Amino acid sequence: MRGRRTGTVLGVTALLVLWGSTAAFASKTGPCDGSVTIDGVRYDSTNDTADDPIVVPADKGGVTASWEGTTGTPITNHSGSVSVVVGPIPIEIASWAGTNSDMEVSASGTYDLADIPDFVKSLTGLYEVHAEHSGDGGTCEGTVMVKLDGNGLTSPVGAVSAAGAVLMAAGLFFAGRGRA
Amino acid sequence: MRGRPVLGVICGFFFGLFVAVLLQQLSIRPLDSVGLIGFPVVGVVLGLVLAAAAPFGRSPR
Repeated sequence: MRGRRTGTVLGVTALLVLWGSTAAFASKTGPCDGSVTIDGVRYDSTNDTADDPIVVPADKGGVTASWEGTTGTPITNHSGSVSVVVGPIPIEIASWAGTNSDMEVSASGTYDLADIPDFVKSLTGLYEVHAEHSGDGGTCEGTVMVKLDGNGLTSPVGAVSAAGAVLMAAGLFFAGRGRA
Repeated sequence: MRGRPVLGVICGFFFGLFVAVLLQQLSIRPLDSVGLIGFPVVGVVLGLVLAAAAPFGRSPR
């Protein structure tokens, strides 16, 4: 009886741990494509898993990201957005719209990572980033994983989470200790 | 049930939530629907199982 109890508890705990190591699934649809080169490493839409994310270095001083995008066919009267997925809700962080009267099918540019807002610089961890671009001529959607490099245990959110997990684990222990 | 199911549910929920955020901070998995909803649910189940299995670590009388 006691062995069965222990087995059940260990089973649920193992499920929790294994679930935690599962890579996320993501995808790209439509005629668009794009890439970005950061610190000499080229990333594209295939960097869509937790094991192979786009890595943004912790030390962003002097680092420039070179990006380029194509749509295959001209997409006019377009609009688009980029969102960070938090749970079931995508939080929009950027959006755009235009007519594309020049019928362009590609764009490129550079971005100095030092220009990233301060509150983003303090973030670490893995983020699922979803982008969409649509208009007359096509619709594109894609998801990539972005890793903001840094020590997750020393970040404010990471430290609070670690302490909270330990505290709640102690609570779970007392829940299983039984009433006096 | 000889354990503390209410304590188990509350602590299990927040344990799962904190673990999900910690895994995201450690770049192990993103804070997607599975992490933000699934982990707390599994934590609640864990809390209930522990409360049902109580007294854990003692010989049953």
